[in-house]
Amino acid sequence: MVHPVLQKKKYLVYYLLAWAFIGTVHATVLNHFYGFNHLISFTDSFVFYSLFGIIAIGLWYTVKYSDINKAKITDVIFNHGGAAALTLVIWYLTGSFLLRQIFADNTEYLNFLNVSIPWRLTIGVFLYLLIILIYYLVISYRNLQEKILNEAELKSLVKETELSLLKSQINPHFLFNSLNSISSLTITNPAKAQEMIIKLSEFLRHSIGHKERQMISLSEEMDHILLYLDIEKVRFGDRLVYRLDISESCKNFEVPNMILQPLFENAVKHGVYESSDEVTISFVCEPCMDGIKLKISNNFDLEAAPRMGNRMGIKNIINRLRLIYQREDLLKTNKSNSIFEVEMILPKLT
Amino acid sequence: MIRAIIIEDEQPARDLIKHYLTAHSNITLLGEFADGFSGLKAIQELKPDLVFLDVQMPKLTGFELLELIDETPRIIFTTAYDQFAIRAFELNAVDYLLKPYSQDRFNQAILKALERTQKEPLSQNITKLTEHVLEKQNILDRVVVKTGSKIKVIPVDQIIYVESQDDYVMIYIVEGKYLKQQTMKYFEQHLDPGKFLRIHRSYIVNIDTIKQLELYEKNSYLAILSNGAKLKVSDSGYKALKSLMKF
Repeated sequence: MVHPVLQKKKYLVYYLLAWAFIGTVHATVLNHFYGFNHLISFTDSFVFYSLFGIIAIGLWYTVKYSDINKAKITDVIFNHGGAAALTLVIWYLTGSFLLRQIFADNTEYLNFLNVSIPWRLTIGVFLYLLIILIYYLVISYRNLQEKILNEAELKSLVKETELSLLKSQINPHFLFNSLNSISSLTITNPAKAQEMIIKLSEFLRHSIGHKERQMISLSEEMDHILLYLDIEKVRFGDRLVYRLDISESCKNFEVPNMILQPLFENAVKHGVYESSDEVTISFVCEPCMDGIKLKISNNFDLEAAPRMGNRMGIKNIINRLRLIYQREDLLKTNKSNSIFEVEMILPKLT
Repeated sequence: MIRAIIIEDEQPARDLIKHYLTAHSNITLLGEFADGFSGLKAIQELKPDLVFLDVQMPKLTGFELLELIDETPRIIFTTAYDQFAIRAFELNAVDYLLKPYSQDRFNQAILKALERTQKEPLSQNITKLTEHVLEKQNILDRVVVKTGSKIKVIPVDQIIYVESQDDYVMIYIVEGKYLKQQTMKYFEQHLDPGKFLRIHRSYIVNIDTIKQLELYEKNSYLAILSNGAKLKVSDSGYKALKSLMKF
């Protein structure tokens, strides 16, 4: 970990200013209450506090290597007790030695120097405590920052993973049944077989290749869905009818990639798969206050007993919407008579 | 001459089978049917020798259909992708075709289906197969029953309670009751355990339909259900009910 004072020039300046302030207070006290002249007051102050200032920079390492989170608390106290004693002894002895040399012939000051030992040591202890406290604060602040950063990173990682999992996977049923239809068409209608192979390839290319893109335009999403519906129409013929009504102003609106696909798959699965009569899938998209409003509905066979599985698809979409828009209220489903309807609002992302 | 029908909901898939069948002059196609109900009716009325049966279909799945017929013809299953079913096919060695399949594979299946029936009864295999598929589906979402010639598909949340009747169970719903050949243990394992509870040796109850519990003798309770039925609750049933309904 970088030394907090030496880390930036700015911090070193602050550090020096802090010591200058303490030194000035000290010198003023000597001048005012003890009657020493300015030269003596400031020299005394300068010698002692510049010494402490230099030693205090080194104290960072005692703090760094006796981490209160890792080391035993008794060890920490023992370390600091030792370091404090050593600091004070070196500090006082060096300081008083230097001052004795400077003011060798001023007996009044030399007497004062001897008398001042107790309170100088007291000040030293407090300075020591203050400094290590500041150092510990710096460390815990840095740890906190790091933790926040890590958490944010982790969150975005989790979000990405979740999103990629929630995007619809290619349904193997759909794939193999489509291949079977193609196999049949090669005999009965080779031209149509070729057309279907091309559509299926385009569909697969989009499903496999474009997954890393988070947002695409509605018209791109619709291209993909049209391929899907056309392929299913070859399988189901007249049983599947679809009607799309998309307002022109919606076409360039950005929507989450593959957000509509599962809804259409659901409509086919629960409508067409389960009914031997015609099923109409209607899609309406129009602008609204927040962004765009999409409605997908299909009729279904009332006699067909409901199958489960529907909930997972819808739940996945709700989860995706929550992750992307941080909102829970964007998707509503409604089942009435023989119509199943999903209403979804996609807000503008700012 | 072998009489066959196709039960398959997709036109192209039916066309393909018809095309493959042109190579087999000994098989006459009696008809093709696009959903489980009409397929079931066709099996009962036409009594074909051979059936090409899709698994996933509207109204009734291929397996549900097999549960409802007494005399099983030779069956060749066709399916696209169904992990449980494919495992079940393999275990029971019933003929099946994975879509898409070739003419060769199709010919093999026909050969196998025709040979097998001469040596051993296929219906036993089919029973084993459907049992196996049903076992693998953890939670049931619907139950098919037969009353006379009528077929009823019951969504499980409409079931009020299930009562044991020797080798059968009686399933009670609002409109009436239906007998089905199945064990209590099977229903205990395959009905949603958050919703259905075996409150007594003879009863599995949909807990949503319980109106009240009445003290009957000391330490013994009666459950009164939405349809007015009063069912005995055993000691262990009462404890399980207490923990499930949290009272």
